[in-house]
Amino acid sequence: MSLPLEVEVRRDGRRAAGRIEGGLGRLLVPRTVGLEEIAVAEDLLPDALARLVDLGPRLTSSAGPFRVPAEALGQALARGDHEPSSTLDRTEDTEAEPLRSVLLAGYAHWRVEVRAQAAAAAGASSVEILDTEACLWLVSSDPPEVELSPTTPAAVFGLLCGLVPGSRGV
Amino acid sequence: MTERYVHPHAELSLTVPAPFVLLEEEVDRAVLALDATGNPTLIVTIEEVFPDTTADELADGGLGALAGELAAFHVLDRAHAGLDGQMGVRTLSHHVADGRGMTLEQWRVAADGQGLTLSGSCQTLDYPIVADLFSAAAERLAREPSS
Repeated sequence: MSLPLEVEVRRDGRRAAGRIEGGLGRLLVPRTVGLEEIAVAEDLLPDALARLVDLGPRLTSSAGPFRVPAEALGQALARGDHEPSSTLDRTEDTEAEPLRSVLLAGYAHWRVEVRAQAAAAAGASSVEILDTEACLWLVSSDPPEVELSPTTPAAVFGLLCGLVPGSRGV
Repeated sequence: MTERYVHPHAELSLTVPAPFVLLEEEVDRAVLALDATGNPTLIVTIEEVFPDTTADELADGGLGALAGELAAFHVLDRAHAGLDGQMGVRTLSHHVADGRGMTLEQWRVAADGQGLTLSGSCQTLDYPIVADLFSAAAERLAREPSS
């Protein structure tokens, strides 16, 4: 039997968390009032996660991947940059220009992480996405930078499947 | 390896990217299973449609029907994609069958009064390893010119 795993979903400041154990995924999900527990079999967990992060049809982009300092993305997300008046827009840092273009049209940011209990971030598997008007951007960490790559909901769903222990892998 | 299918009545003929089993053959449509062993399955449906039917209309109708037939049906992706040398519609959806999570990827194209649909279905946790198989089948599937 596989060891219990912790699962965490963060989307625009909201957090759902739970565990995967014994072939079952359990998550406490914030609702308008209080928390709701979702319990589903492992093979239904990718769809449950997809619904939590509002994964659905999106436009596709022919734009190429680009890199920005991880700090620039972190600061922009912490500020909730959405508008041209944001601090990021006023910066003269040309490295942040592609990121500014991505964020200006509005976005949602989400991350799903699965990790062994008590293992902190080490060994964790995750999927992190910027969901924008133009397309979905997959955020890949490569310290001290992050790479943002345009992707499709189908590809992202495959990555969510790959987070579940019973998956046959990506 | 490819095989050829020719409908006995309608002008429907296909180059199919794998050995197939004929599941249904009606006067205006045919359904072929490229792998009938269960998981994954690849199904090809070719049917007569109105001459001006578009791939988007074919997808609208198909997804609408599935939403009424399948439990917990959820459309995850929909985008324009090539099939049979023409621009069609690729969709990805999820549903529950016999308590199991199932993922369904489909390519649809409509041209010359014919609608062609390739449906790849698998248990959801297998999707990461069969997605490329589905895409490869879509790249190799082709209608044949009517004689």
